[in-house]
Amino acid sequence: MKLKLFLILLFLGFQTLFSQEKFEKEYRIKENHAPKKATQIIKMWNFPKKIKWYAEESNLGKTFEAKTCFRKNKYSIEFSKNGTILDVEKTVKLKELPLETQQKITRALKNRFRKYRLKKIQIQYLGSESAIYKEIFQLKPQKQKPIRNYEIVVKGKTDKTYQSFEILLNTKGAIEKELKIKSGLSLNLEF
Amino acid sequence: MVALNVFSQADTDLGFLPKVVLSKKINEVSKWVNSIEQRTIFYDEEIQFSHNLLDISSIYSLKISQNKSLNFGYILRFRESETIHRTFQHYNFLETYNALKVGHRFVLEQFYQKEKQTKFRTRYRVSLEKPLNGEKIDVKEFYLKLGNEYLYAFAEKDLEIRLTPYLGYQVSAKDKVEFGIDYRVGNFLNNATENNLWFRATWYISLQ
Repeated sequence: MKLKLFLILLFLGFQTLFSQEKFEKEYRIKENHAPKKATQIIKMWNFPKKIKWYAEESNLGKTFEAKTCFRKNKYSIEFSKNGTILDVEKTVKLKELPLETQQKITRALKNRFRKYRLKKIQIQYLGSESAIYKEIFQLKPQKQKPIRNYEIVVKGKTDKTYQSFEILLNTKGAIEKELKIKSGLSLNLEF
Repeated sequence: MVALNVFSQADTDLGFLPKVVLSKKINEVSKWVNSIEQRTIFYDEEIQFSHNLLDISSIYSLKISQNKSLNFGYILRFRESETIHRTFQHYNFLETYNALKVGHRFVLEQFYQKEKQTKFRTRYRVSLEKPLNGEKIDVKEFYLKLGNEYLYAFAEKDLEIRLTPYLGYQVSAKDKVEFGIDYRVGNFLNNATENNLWFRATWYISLQ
């Protein structure tokens, strides 16, 4: 009985992991509409380039994002409604990553899809505000390192057709989350 | 008045082109798209307000991959006392660069008319679409769409170029509206340039 229940739960978990569709509404906001604590953190970090603020409504609720360019990479710093830092995402090219990481990503995608094309890679950092700042923006290695994941947008062929996905890989190369991205063709660009 | 004087130097028409496009999903890979478009002329050598033509079209659209489609269609055009039948084939593909969508459309067209020889035309259009807010267009958000199209008529050996800046608004998950200008320069290769400036309003409706 327990085994049956376990299998059902496992199946349901599998379904949730592999069939969710990405829902996300992102819109530009003024700095004074972002949580005060978040704007204070960003001011303190003193980025040289312009900061753009966004609100994002997704499957997980409402969050706020500060986007900027730093040392030629795009960064997105995500905050909760009360201004607590949730994660930092750094957009990179596959070649910029260590060879071992490149291999792990490639292996994971080859196992998941018959064919695929990488669209976007972001390194996701999770951790405390100070650990993130020192490790990522000041390049000072920390004892308590932020957790690192890879958020990848990929166009992959599973059966006969291609579909876009957002995949979250951990450092071991295992898929932690997978969301389908709604397809791109739109009526007003065709007709 | 100054503007009209300027236009009167060349062969210039001004008008309004309202259009409704209705799409109905047939299955996962195909849809049926119908549209109706009307043309009203405001200015053609003199100020006027005349109904010029009506286009009714029906298209079968087949999605061949996530970002590519083939469309097969028919347009029935009523222009003054004439009736023109047109068949066409589209090949569309879409590229996405972060917030920017770029749509490409390649077209072959055949025109049939009573007591006239069948005419052929080919055309290519590139359209750029960018949300004015955030990285993608959400409901109740505005976007910009810029189009540039090249049309070549084989019989006339003539090129027409179109520039189409539009402002779009996503009304709901199922419909959007676009307003803008459709500027056409015809007879480009024959040195008898014709200018057409149309004010466009298009309503796109997608039914599941």
